[in-house]
Amino acid sequence: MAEHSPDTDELLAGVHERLAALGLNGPLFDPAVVAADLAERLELDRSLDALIGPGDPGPPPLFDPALR
Amino acid sequence: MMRTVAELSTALRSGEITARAIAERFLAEEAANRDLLHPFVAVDPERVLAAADTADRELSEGIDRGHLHGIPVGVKDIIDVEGYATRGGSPLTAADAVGADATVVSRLRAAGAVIAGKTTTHELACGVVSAPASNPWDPTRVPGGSSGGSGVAVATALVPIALGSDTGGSIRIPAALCGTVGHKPTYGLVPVDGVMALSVSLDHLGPLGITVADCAVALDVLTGGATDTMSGLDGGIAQWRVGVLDSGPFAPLQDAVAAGLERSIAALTDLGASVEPIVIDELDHVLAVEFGIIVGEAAALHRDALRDRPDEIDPAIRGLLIGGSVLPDSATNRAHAARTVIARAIEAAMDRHHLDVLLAPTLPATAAPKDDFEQVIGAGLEHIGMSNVRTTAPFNVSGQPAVSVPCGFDADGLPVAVQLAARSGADAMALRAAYALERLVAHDHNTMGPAGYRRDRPIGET
Repeated sequence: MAEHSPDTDELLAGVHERLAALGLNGPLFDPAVVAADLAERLELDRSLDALIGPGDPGPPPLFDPALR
Repeated sequence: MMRTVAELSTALRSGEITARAIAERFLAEEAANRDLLHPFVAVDPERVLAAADTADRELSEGIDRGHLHGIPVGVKDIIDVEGYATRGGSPLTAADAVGADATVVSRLRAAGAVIAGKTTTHELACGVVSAPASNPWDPTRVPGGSSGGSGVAVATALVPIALGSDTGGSIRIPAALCGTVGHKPTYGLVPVDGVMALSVSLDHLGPLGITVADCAVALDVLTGGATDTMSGLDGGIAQWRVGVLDSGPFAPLQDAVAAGLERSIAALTDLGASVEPIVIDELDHVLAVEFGIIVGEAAALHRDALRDRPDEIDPAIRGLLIGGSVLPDSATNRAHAARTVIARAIEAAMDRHHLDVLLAPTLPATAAPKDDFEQVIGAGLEHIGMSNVRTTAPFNVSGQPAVSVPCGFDADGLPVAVQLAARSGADAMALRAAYALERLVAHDHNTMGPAGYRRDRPIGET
């Protein structure tokens, strides 16, 4: 498995508990598969640092297509 | 006679044809093509004929509701139509007929349109295959999605217009692969109430049409009169400035698509426009933004179904919903923030270069065989779930209007297409540029259609 940031490692380690909390149990919700997918999604998320920097900007306002 | 709105509309008013004859021809052809192409999932002949008879009676009484009076229109099966169930391509949905129309359907009816039926959608409007629909140019290939049935219905001229939705390209993808025009309007311009959502921040409703004019007349009805794109449609684009997007997510392309883009650039130049390539580096991150938003919002919408009936969800969609369920909220927040950065970057580039519209390939490739998950593009293999979205998602993320126009064929006779995008709110400019381009590059699509489905075949006989 690729190296991740501590935050990412924590998220991946907590996949089993997260699935259980959502009631997503059973063979269709294999934590190992979900964790591998999540790792890819988090890597994609990290690529956005180039646009917005690190960190959580908080919930978005309603998108306005007339941004100018 | 062509089967466009303009020609049907003229023929209806001259008495050359009746709405009932159009409806009867539609019903006969839909039944004949159902097993092979499956553009519709539900058609109610009694309702279709009753609406057509009403349209004829009104015309005979001097009541004329406008261009769509008596014209059959397909409606994607995620949009509520009174008297039909909204199945969304999913067993999760109720089989009972809904009791009210979505606002867009109400507006179509008020404009005199005849609702022809519900068109095939990819499950939950979340994919680019739209089984069991098939591509009319080669039925072994996909029609695209998620509004695949609408693409097939228009490409075969069963109807001149069909409604689709576009969250990551789902109007423009089937339009490009089926050789029709498709218009994704400005975000928020067309109301989405009464429509099954996928990702509320990215969902758009709009028309697919045989021609750009078909889409324009439909848009003006769908917006409830908030737009008047028809009146300036033929104004031309002399002196306009066009920016070409051919890098970042718009590369690589299959050779035939690259040739179609070059043909379109030459045509726009011939029309008097100034055309220049532009680069917007922020678009390199468009898929991270698109999927960052979709997975979070789709997972929230389908949370109960994922927990209670997961085995009734397609595995690929289920994987996306699970991914969105365990992704932290911060990731969705970040995707939204990055969306604004991308939208502003496109605006800034258009300002910097004084651009009126943008030109880009609609898709990097032509329709894939049904069983293929990947396709060769340039020197590499790409998953079609990504290749079909990387060129369309930029305008979902930015919210800008974008019109896909056919512009040629590949060596296998499959359509290729380009898209023209304008600033948010300037749908009329995108349509006007598309209309001008269509004159020069889409003649064969507009008139001939796929083999066996000529768009000038007779209507008056059943």
